[in-house]
Amino acid sequence: VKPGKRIGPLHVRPEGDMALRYAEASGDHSSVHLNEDLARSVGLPGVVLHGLYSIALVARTANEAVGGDPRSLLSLTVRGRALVEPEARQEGRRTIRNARAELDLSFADGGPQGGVGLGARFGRLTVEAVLVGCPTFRESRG
Amino acid sequence: VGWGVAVVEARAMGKRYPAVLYGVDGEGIRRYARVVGLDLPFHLGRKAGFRDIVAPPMFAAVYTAPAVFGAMNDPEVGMDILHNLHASQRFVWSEPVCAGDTVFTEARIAEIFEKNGKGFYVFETVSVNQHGLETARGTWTNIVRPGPS
Repeated sequence: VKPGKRIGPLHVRPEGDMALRYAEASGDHSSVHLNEDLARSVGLPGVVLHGLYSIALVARTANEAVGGDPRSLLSLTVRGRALVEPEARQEGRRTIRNARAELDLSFADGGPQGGVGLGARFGRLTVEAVLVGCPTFRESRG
Repeated sequence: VGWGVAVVEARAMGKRYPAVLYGVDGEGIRRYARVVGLDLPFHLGRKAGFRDIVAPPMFAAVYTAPAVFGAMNDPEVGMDILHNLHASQRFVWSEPVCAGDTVFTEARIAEIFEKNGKGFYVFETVSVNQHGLETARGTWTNIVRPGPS
């Protein structure tokens, strides 16, 4: 893995119950992810997936590129670009825009076989994870 | 109904919170790994060179969340949680986290400010395991949109 290399894209189609499954796995039961009416009442198109779910996919893409050892990933910065709705909500929509996350990553020098330590040199990478078939919308809608 | 400006109170900036404990169990790691699509043996049941079942790096978001949620819900911070969006996330990892570990996470409010009518709330976390070894440092950036008024 060399600095500047693009990893992925990882194509994932989150199932309709993914927000609930992620809520149960993560302990984040915030209403905007689970309660349709409440999500609408605060200006969202409906329930949205947890941002940390998308970020986890980005981390997974990066980690898989170096063999999957969790010790290989030393740091990660993700800026969310768009909200993602579960698949069930996309029917009947025309515009499908992929959500992209760009991030700074650092890996332990030498990848999964290399040692991990504070002295390790880090490589900088640009990684993308593309969520396929997920409609998104812009945050500022007037 | 109009869209106003998010109300931001910055007086809690710099505030630190006591450590919040999280007990890591193998079933929790397995469930998380499956949901995010990481079907690797060392997350699902085999020790494979680790002390026990090892958590994926982003499981840090799970074991640090109770500390962050505590800070987000602090009345002194005054965050409008319902209009909150998780805008960006940074983690820096050190010691791996395994089933059976106890992780202690301290949260701190790094920044609170308003920009373009939105409220920005930045939380920092430091997590250590039962041996006092650091497992992860996190920076959580949340943006509160102005709500219908």
